[in-house]
Amino acid sequence: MKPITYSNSTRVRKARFVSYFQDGFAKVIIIIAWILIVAGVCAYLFANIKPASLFVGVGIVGLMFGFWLKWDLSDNPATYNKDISEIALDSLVSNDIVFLINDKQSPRQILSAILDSWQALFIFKRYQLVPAQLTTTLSDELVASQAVWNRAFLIAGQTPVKEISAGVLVVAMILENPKMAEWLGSHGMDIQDIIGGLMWEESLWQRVLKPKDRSQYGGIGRDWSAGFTPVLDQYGQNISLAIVEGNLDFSSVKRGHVLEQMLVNLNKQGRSNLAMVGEVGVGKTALVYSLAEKLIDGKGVLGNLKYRQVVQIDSGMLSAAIGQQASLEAIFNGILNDASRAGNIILYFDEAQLFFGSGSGEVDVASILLPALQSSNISLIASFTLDDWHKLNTVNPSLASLFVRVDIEPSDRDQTISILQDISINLEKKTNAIVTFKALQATYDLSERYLHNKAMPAKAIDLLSDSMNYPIEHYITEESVAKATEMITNTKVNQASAEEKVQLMNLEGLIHKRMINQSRAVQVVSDALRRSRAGVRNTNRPVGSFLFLGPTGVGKTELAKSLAATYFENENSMNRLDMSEYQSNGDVARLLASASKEDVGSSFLQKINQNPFSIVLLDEIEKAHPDILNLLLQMLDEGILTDTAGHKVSFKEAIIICTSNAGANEIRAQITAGKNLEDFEDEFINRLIDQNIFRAELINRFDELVLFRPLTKEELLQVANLIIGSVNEELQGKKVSITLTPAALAHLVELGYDPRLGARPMRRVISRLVENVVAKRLLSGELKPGSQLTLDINDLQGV
Amino acid sequence: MLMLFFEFITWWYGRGFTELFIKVGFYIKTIWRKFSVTALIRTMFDPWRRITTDTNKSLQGMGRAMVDNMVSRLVGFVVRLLTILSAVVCVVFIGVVSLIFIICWPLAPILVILSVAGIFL
Repeated sequence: MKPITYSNSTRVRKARFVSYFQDGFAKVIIIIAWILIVAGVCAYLFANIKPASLFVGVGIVGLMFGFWLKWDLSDNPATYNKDISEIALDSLVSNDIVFLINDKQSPRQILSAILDSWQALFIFKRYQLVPAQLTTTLSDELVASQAVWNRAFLIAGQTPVKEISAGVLVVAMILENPKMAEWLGSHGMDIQDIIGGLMWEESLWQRVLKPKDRSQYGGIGRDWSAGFTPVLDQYGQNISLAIVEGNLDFSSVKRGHVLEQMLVNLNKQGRSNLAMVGEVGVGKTALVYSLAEKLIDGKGVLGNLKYRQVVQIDSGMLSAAIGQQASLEAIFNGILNDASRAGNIILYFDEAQLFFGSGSGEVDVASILLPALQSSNISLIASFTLDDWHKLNTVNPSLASLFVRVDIEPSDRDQTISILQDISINLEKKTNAIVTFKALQATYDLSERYLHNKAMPAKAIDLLSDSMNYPIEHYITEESVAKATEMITNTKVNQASAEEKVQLMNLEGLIHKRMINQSRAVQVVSDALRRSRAGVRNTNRPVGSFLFLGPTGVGKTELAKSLAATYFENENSMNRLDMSEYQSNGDVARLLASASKEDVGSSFLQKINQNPFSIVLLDEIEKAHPDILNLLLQMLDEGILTDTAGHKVSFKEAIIICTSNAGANEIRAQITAGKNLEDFEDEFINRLIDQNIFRAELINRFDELVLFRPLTKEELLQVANLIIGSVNEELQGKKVSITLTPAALAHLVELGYDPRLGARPMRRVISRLVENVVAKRLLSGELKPGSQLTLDINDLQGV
Repeated sequence: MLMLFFEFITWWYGRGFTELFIKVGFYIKTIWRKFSVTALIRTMFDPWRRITTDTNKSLQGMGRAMVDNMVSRLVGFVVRLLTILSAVVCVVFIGVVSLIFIICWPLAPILVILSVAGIFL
């Protein structure tokens, strides 16, 4: 540990002195001083007022003081050197707190001295940490300060400002405090999380200390050597001028290396057209804005590109003008001529497929653009999704060859959080709520996991913006982000409530209120749901995937319905597909029909998109076309399907249940022969694979394969009771109820029992015998509201 | 307080004076940039806003295009020259004011004393 020293040095005295004056005081003093000097000189010389010379004297003193305050006292940076042998606080601590601390203070006294600093408050607020929580755990011993200062010295070396600020000190105190380590752990954070919050504060502090000088933009003669662009002005938006006029800042784009690559390629002789290729939401447009900002700023830009302006062509405006004002060819030639003659224009085509007819094709200018790009000096930037770029390469390779491809990858976790940090400051101004550091982490994590229609960072930015609508006591926390995610995705993200936990723990019992037996199937499904809500699962695959095998009428579909009704509130939260309707190769397109919310209709994928936390029931999958089963492999393995429009649809929050009657006769035969399911399960599955009913890779992808056995007569009696119960529920509106004697129930079982059809005939029998009797008696007036009807075997035999 | 006063005096005749020169340089450079002087000199004889006439094959057409282009260059030259001259005037003005400031800077304490004495003169 390095020893600590402190002296009341010049820097400390200056810092203390300047602390008596507010920001901007120096400016006011200088202005008043100038007024006094000018007024004094005028009064002395022209009106011969002798005492006015005192004004001049006071003015000069004011001016001297003002300059000292502005140029020296307020600009008193710390000097950091990592190789020093001792930590001299007076030279290492930031100017705003250096006069408040000394080497005779305990950690608690240090915190008390710096508590009002905005940097300390920033750390407390971003971690929702009450200052008293830290203060009460800090030592009152002077000796404990040494560790804090040493830690602060090391942390300061990692910050961009390189000084021990109040923020650095608070973080050092947290990290050097064993009790705070517990606090960190209980909030799911580690050292890197705390350092991350500090970096956020320090980068803001750096911007306060060194604001960007953006006053130049090339000066008044910047565009005098460039031509006028009347047509371009009509159909394009000059991004560069918008940046100059709005003083916009795109420093949060954070893709320095891509920007450099763009500059290098634009500066190349010959092919200086860029194709920015990346998924929707990776920040292609933001990068072009950032490039425009850099070019118009001119700093660090080569002469050829300096002050070039980026003009975005509006495809909507173009298509609206076609026919009304001129032909597409005339307008577009006008645009290209303007750009070529001006000499300082870079054209930007956002969503370029709209121009090149390789996508939905609002306008097709490819044939006009190709010769223009080949022969003139126009520079062009076009943004494409990966699919659109491939399409252009296929449809029009000559045009594609004129572009240099620049791949834009989604931002990684650190980059995204850094972008969110910059954006959150602006969002906070609008909503008056403070975004916590954990909320930013949750924004990245949840958007990565649940949002699939855009890439990073756009999806995280969207989620954070939505989260601002759910403040919790003026804070945007991880709960706010989870709530926003739930609203967007219809998924359960927040932790299970006490009521839900009870429901989850008793799920089997609740399902068995509707289901008879099939305990293993009920259990595997319940377990999957519990794992999901407890967060103990692989989040890159569906919550659970099951193949239910067995004869018809044994409860395979009923289990899915029961789960939907019990846990997912109603049976409608189940998305069911009858795979016998997908037997041909052409049905693949139907299955993958667009999932976009804008598209009319409700395709299977659209339903999943709107309700990802649901049960997906694929009935009779053995009847589906092999190509459909191949899609199923992807769905089970990666939890993602891509629709025909290229949108990704996630099944990672869904429980996928596939049912099949394949081998039903064999199951029935084995059970009839007295075997248990477990005895022949493996052999049975192998036979299904050998007979080519299912491919081994499909079977392997399911979490569980569950064999359903045929119902016995005893179980069918219970089914009959359940059905009678549901009939009574329907009769509640008539204020009547029915009961059946044991003999009547036994009669129903005899009539409804068919080993080939399971429980299905039972519903028909009850409908035919019981419901018909009740209907007749209601109509004849025998059965009055408020009465109870008991049916015996005789009542049923006459029907 | 006395210490601070000495520190002020030390700064005024030391780093403060140096800072004054840096600021003067900064202001002159800013004016130079605001008027785009370097770019204007480089493109002094370029046509104004690239307004040019294409030549055609006839002698009359060529002559006319030449005159048009000459006029465009002349307009460009005049506008640029006037702008550069304005920049030079501003720089000279700043230079003169700065020179007065530079001369007065070390004399400031004396000027204070003189201004107090001025009441009685």
